Amino acid sequence: MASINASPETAFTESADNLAGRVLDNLLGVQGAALVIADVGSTIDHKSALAAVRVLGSDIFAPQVLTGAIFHPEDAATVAAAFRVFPPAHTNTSAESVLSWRDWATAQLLTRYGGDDLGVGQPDGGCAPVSSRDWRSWSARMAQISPLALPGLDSPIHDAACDNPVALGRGLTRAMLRRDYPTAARLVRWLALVSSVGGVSPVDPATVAAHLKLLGGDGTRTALDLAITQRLLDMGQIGMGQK
Amino acid sequence: MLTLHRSPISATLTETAAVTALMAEPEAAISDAPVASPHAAGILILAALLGPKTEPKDK
Repeated sequence: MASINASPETAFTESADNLAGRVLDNLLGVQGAALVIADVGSTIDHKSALAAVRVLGSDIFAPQVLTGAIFHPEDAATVAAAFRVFPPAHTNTSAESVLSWRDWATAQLLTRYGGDDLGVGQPDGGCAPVSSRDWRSWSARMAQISPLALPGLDSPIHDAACDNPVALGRGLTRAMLRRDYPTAARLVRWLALVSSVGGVSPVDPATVAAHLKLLGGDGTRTALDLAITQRLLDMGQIGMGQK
Repeated sequence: MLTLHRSPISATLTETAAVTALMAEPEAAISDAPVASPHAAGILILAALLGPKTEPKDK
């Protein structure tokens, strides 16, 4: 546990890793992992727990979306509280666009699973690559909004992913060559989603995911991305032209 | 059990900025491939001059 003198970023990172671990347990059906966030109330640092909710965003709902797990009402109240303590930003810079899309996805799923309507509208623009040479910055942005890579969050972001699998594949390849495995895990998750809806991936997401499981380190958030990737691959056909 | 949703807490600007930074986490800052360093040759020569000297073997 982070020391009492740890910076907010250090404390919030540790809290997000802990919450990702609980979401992962819930996704994998680990016994006793039904409550995800409510048990976080037993920690001393409530603010870090709420920060973790904001950082993970719509990934918190991955067990519900992918396995039909029940979302506890107290968890729904905690997500709403996290938005009150750390409210959404409302400017139009590139970084804020990333945050706006993540907030929209969390709000959508919260409403779907019985929580309050947080009044977060769908953002405008910033979805598709500007040109074929824009793949590098675009794929980096897609990695930042990887929590949207879940079924049912239909949006221009999903359309952009399905329309630009080659750009995603280039970004994934670049991340693997740079050994930036967390980014690679986020991008392979997008390609798994594309494959799950019948799209053709330029790289085999299953092979890349297996490689990342072996060499991607022991970060819980990366492990969560890979578990979600596996669920997505299980849901649909694998790309590479296989029918 | 403690209930987070009833706690009247607020975030400071620093804490909000920390959450924002973690939500928009960029790709890892990994350095590019190593580039030639004009000073490397001098460092190697210096290391060779300062290295332990060995006596030539008797033939």
